[in-house]
Amino acid sequence: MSALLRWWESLLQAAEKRLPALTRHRQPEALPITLHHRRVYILPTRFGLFFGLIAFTMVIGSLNYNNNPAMLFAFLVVAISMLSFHHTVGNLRGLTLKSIRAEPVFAGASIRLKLSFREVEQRSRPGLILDLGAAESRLALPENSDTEVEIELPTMRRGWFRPGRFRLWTEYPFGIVWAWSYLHPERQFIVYPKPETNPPPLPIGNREDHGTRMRSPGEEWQGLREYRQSDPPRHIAWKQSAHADAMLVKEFADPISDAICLDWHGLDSLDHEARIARLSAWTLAAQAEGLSFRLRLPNQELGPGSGDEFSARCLTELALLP
Amino acid sequence: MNETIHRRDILYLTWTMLLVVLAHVHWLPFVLTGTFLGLLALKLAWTQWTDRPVPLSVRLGMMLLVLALLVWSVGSPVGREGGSALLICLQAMKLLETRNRRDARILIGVAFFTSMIAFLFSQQILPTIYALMVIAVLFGCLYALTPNYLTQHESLADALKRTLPNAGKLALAAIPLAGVCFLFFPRLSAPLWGTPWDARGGKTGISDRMRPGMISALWNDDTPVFRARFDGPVPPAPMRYWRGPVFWMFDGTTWAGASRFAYERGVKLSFNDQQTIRYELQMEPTEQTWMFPLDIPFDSDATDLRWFSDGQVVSRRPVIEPRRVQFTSALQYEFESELSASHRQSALGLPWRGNPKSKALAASWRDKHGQDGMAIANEALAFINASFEYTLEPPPLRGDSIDDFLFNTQKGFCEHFSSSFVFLMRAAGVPARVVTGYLGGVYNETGGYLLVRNSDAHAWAEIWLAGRGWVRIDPTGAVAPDRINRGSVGAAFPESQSWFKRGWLGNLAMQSDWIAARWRDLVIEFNADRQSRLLEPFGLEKIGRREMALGLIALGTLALALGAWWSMRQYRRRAERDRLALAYQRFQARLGKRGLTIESSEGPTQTLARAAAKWPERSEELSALIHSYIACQYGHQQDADVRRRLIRQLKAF
Repeated sequence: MSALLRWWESLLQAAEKRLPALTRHRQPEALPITLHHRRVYILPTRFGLFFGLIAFTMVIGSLNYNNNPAMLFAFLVVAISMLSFHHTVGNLRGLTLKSIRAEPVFAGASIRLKLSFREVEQRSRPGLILDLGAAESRLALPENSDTEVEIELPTMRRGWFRPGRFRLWTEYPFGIVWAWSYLHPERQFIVYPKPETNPPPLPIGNREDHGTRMRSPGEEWQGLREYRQSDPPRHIAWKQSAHADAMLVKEFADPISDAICLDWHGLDSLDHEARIARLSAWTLAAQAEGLSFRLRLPNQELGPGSGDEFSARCLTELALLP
Repeated sequence: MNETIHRRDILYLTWTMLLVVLAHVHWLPFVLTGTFLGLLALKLAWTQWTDRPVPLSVRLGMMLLVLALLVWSVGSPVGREGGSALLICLQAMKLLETRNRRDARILIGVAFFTSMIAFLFSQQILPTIYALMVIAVLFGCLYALTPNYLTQHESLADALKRTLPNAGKLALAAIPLAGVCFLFFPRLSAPLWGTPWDARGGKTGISDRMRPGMISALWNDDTPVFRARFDGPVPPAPMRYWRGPVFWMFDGTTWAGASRFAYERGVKLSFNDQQTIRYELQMEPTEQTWMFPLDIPFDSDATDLRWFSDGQVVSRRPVIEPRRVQFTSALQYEFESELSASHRQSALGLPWRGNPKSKALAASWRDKHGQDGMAIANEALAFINASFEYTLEPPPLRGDSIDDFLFNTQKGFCEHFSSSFVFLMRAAGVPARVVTGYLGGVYNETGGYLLVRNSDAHAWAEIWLAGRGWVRIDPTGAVAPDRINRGSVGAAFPESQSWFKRGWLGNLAMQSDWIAARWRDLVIEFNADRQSRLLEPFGLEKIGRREMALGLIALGTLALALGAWWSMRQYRRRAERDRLALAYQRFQARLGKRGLTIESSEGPTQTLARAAAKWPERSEELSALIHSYIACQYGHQQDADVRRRLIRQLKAF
């Protein structure tokens, strides 16, 4: 039994070595992905079959009548189409998928994946088509360049979005054969929960005091931390930064009473998904108004905080709720 | 991938279809050519004006019209002309409805086939070169149809510029492979199915009947009929009578052969062994059965010939593809010295009605000279010589045609002269017959052969004399001796020739005929037999099918690899860059051996600084080398020569 198993294992290994798309490339792999010749596959197109039939008729006909110029003609057509196979495969071979980026989106909207390909061999690669199920996108790479291609995919659910296996294919140059390769990048993108439309106003106590009030330095001073993109420039500790290697900002302890609290447990009347939608909508509203807030979730508490980065974190946590 | 294609691609496709059909215009009836051009114009105009499809009613109407015109102009849509014309028409109809990629591709696939069947009509070198170039255009079309968003807004000119060079390059790269296939692909020694057209008599050339105008129609036709290559010296111009159909029967207007002689085998010929000549006829496909050996043939290497007692040599199968036949002919001979009664009767037969004046004239000669045939012939030649005029544009003959010619118009050419001469001879009781064929031929210095074209067609007479047998008499020579001595109509009437047949252009024509002959030799006549003798020059004996297949596979793979390498050689530049990096690595390693360890993080500038400090005496050389490397590897220096030189220098350091 174990011999049979070992045999099966070795068979799988051999198959994987020869035909990686059948086994290995069903599994995601780390970027960058380079399409080497072993993972580029080629088959005739439907037009290719028709063309083959025509070419066959031409060869047989010219042979039958021993018509030598016709034979030259037929063989030249056949030879060109055979050469074109090399060009079709060559159009994919050596291409590298460098990275994939995407802006987070809310569930239900389309996510725009930006795939950037790199062409290191000095040739142009026209007529490439990237597809993933129903979505399709065309690209062409000029010689020795990077090209970014966007592909839009619908998202249904909040949480991690894994694009899955892309197929990159081409019919270049003549459409007689098509070559394809699978790309299964190991990347996932967050899809925020769909916020509630027309949510109730934010649960705010003393609204007037917030957002507009200027803090003076020294007030409720807590410490220094490294600069983050979302920090307002007036918080930068210029003097201290000059002495340190990095840019530092002054951190203030928000008085707890100041921050509004977006509390999961306060929304008992709603069901699970509706709570998430409400909290998402509130997070967005708070972010839009530049408020400092805390987000209390069943298993953790975030904040208090404010700014784009914090709200992104909150939305992510909301998206990842079970 | 079945999307509607761009307007520019439809224009591309339409012009390409025009190129494809141009290969057929030389045989396609004018009506169909016109219809096809009309359909192309319709498609062009439609595409310019609107994006909507051509309505079904228009397409159906066109289809019916085209089919009607086809049947009207070429007859049945089966057979060579009919089938080809049908295919061309269907192609035009398909073009009319083509809007999406799938249809366009199918159309191009069919166009490949249409281009190839042009070789059923002509296998000459120029049509072949043309067709091979059309291949590049067709593939260019396919190229343009490949989905490619970058090219959505380019113009037709840009599309041509982008696709044609690429397709042309692929075509060039494919030539070795096509050549290998051509040489090694096993040929069929017998066809799998019949000939592409029924062999029902030729379209051009000498025919089996002589009516007024038959030969003059050929004088405009410069197509080669055969080439003759002589073992010994080329016979002088007045001896170059190429014997074709012989006519015995005359009905008053038309001469025809005699069927009852058809199966009498052999030529009753006695000849002087010293006066024979051996030569090879390289026949062009005439689609007829006649051979045209030099007067009078008696031997040949071909086994499928029938030898008639009146000197005609006929092949059992029509000459539908080029063939070579070797003949031996006697130049001095005694031909059928005993004339059988039936032959005599046939050679004297005349319609009993009509042409009374001619008959009366002949009767007066018979009364004068009695049985002396030669004297009567001389009388007739003198009569013709006296007042007749040789012209290529004779007035039409009315009523009794012989009388009208002899006593009225007196203007004509070989057909008129030979026909009326034989009439007079028969009327005077001398057995006579009309022989048609070719006279003369032009010697091609480059190729060392005699070229005989349809324009050399001629008719002459033979009379039977007691004790001498059949004697050739050319009454045309009595009027236009140049026609015989110079050997061509053109030489006899230089002013009648087109301007392009004279002077240096004429020489050019001879050169191009030599090329055509070589083409025929090397390509058209390459067959299973010559294929099996392919390797003889390399000291190998005949090769069989197995060796042929092996050769095809081995050389084909090689040629395919060669083509792929050549057509994809733009990628080699990268390899070169890699070679440069490799050379630099080795250079670094050598520096390391000499005591300068180089950190992996170190750039070339740092390396240079440290190396120059270590070896100040070589700092200049090092600086030049490393700066050149920086320019090549990181800068804009792309010159391949500079790069190669640098690689050498790095290796030499």
